[in-house]
Amino acid sequence: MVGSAELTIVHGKGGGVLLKEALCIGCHNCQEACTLGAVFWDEKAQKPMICVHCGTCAKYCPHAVLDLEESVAEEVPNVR
Amino acid sequence: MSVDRLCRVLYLDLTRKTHEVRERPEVFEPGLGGTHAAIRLLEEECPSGADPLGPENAVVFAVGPLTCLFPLASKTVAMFKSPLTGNLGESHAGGRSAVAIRHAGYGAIVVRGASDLPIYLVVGGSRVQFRDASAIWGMTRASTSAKIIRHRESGSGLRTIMRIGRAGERLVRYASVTTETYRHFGRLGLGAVLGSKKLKAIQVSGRASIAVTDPKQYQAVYDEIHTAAVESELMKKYHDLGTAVNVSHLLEMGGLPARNLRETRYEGAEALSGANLAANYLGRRLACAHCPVACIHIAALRQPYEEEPYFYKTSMISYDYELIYALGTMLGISDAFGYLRLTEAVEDCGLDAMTTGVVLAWATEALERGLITTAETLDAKLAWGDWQAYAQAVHFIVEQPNEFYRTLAQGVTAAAERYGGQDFALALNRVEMAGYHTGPGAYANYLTGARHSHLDSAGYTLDQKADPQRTPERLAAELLKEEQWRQILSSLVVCFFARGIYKPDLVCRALAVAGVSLTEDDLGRLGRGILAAKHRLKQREGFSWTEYALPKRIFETPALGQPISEEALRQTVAEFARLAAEAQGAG
Repeated sequence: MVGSAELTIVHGKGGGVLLKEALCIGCHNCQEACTLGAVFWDEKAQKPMICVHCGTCAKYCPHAVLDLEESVAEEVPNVR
Repeated sequence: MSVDRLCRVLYLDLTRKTHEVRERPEVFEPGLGGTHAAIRLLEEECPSGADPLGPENAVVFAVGPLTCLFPLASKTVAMFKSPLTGNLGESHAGGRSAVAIRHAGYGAIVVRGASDLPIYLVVGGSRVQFRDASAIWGMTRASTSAKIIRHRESGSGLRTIMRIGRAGERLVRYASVTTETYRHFGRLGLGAVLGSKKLKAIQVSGRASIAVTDPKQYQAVYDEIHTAAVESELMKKYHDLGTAVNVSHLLEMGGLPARNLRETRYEGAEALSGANLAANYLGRRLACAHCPVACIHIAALRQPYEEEPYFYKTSMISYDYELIYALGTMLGISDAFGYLRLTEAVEDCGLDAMTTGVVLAWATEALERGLITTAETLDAKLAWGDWQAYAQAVHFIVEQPNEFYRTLAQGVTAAAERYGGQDFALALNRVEMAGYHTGPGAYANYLTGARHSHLDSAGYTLDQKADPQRTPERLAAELLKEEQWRQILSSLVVCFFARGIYKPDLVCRALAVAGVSLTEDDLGRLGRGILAAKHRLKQREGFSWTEYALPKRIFETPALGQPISEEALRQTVAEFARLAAEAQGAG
């Protein structure tokens, strides 16, 4: 996941992760590393598609299963 | 390909994230696996006085010489030091586990050390991968984490995935390991041991072949076993209604523990019978790999969403006699839906159903008697039949938000030591009782069995065959003999349900085809030796035949209509100890 001395993908402030596109070399390692299969691939740009928390999925979930909430890093489980 | 592949042992070191394969013919000598090999490997791996939840504890999985070759030889034996008893832990499970391990080319897998980060392992033949499990650690539903592994890894159809749930991660001393969603290494806390090692799951698969000495003879012995399996009455019973068939039977006889063993029957218990579950909920039946019986009964539980009409969630929930006892009658549940919902809660987090039920039954009575209050239970109003309150408590046992639930997470003996109520805390040698209140045979079995499991020597079946000549001495001898023979079955890894088929003569012929030449006398000697080895390890870890407590409740409630005599029970245990010491000396 480390493209240079700086991390290409970092924890976002309000939860989730952010892609620093300028640092990304399109190596696919992040996609490979995601146990949940949640990283998709933009074939045209040759970059990962990382969730940007736009909330569209939550808005259109027919059963209100999804909800978009802001959280602080300490409350996110499994952050080590 | 040679038949000696059984002697290959895969060593997995979680601390260093390394693996090694070693040929260990001396461990399997003269050709048995299962408990025979596992006790030898555990003796080597687990140092005296090891902390069950420390990296020094080891876990051994072992399969047998008949696995893959013959039907009904598809059990995996797990051995470890138990965090529930602080002594020998042994648990058996089927599913695809044994067949997958043998096809991967191993007779046993040894897990050593502990990982610093959550991991899961993928074993494919000689290739072993250590995978990051951080993203699936902490998931509320164990089946979801297993589903993610299934999707991410290849090997569908041939593999086993043995995994823990939240209870194992949280080190509940009776957390289980689930394999293929519906089968379990249920008892004695293997799940907590894996949790302490930060090992979320192990996937195993492979395509190794297994040779036979004489193909013609192989076919003949195979047909004999297969025909017996599909035609036997006993197997038909397990196929039709499953182990749940015993519910009505035991209720009728007055041997099914109900409401913390205050009674053996109550209004509404019949709702949990095998016939009722099959008529209203049975969704499908499944078999372990290479079993023509298919005793696994799975309920389809359709649950409506409250806010939307015609919208349902359907869960598939495996049910068995022991679960119906522990999460049903022991808690006074009188509707099948509630029983299944509670089972689902227990499955979601990966707890041993039997211990959980006994713990909750004690807590209900302790609450009734004022030993604890709803301040301790965090407002869970535990009351007979209230499955929702029990499901709430199951969640608390796993998350352990206060001292009360932290204590419950250590088993009923620990709970009674802290809060009182020893007289109705139904564990023998720290292992919560099974669903048989049938008489002295059952209790002598719980007390003397190496695992303190009803399956060690099946004392409950002796109780059901009344014999006026059965003195405590004779009962002890019968239990010991049965337990010694079962060491052979569990070293072949034959399912105990098939014990009526795998008689000594047939075992010798099946072994011969697998390249193992043993006589019936050899089997007898080996069985005695394996049990003696277990007793030695137990004594090394502090087990004593004379120090045990008997909850008064077992003498207050008649068993099959008769009160149990404490004196006769103690005599039986003393005689068993004497005979076992003699056998140990002879070995």
